[in-house]
Amino acid sequence: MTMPSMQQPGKERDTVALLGAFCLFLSTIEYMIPKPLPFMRLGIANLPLMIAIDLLPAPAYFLLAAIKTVGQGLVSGSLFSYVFPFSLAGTFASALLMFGLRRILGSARIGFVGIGVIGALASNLTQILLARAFVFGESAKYVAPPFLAAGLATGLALGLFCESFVSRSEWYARRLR
Amino acid sequence: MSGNPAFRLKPFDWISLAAAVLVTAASFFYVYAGSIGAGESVVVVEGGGRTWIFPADAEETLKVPGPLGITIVELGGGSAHVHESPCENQICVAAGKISRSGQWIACLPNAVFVRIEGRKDDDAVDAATW
Repeated sequence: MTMPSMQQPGKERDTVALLGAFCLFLSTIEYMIPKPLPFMRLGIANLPLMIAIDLLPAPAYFLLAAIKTVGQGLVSGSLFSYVFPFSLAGTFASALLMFGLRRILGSARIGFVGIGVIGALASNLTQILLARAFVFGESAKYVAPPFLAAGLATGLALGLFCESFVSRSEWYARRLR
Repeated sequence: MSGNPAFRLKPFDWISLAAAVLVTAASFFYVYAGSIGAGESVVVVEGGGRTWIFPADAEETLKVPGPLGITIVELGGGSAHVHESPCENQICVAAGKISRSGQWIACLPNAVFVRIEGRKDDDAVDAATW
């Protein structure tokens, strides 16, 4: 019983809704963990974005990225503060790079570890550059080492988790068909 | 599904990891290499378009203006901390005291940055006193 893999709006909508809800849940967990800067996150809310990478076409994928950012803003109360653009820019920079690399290079050449690490790097660099340009000036550089080191560790951990998840999950296998 | 095949990193996983490690290492070098042996440590407070620099052992209560209001930074006993902040999440207050070179406290909502620069010679022999 094979179904055509593309053009299944209902299935695609279900996936966006489920993973969007998952983003909100993980944002809540993330919000409970103390952090030295408001825009410094462990990035666990990016997990659904990584899982979605082979499941959704570009428009649905970026819709999920938008849901994640707005959901995170709602949960943390930063939706209408000027912290929000930082979060938005970071998420979209990483979503664009993760999605683009996977589509261009293919799953044989880049796995979730590479995607996770590059996604964290893109998000952190974008936010540090924004902080440098608009808030802290030259001092923003002091933020970089711990941010990037934390991003490397969490990106790697999320990537390993994702590899393990996609290789075991029956839900994922069904969605992929 | 059980019995997943042995997990192996793919070529661009390695390249991504190497790139991220390099960028991270470069940031450490860029930020910290210059401060080693830079002499007396100082507390630098930035906010509201101004910069204050104090010796690390200064006793001072500083009112730093920002877009949300006044952030109160206290220096004393060789450390610095944000005592009060008008921001929503109070992460800068929760960050606690900083006392070692390279440490910082940042409040993004009120655009206040406190950092310690230079070396603290606590555990080094001062050759000049011989």
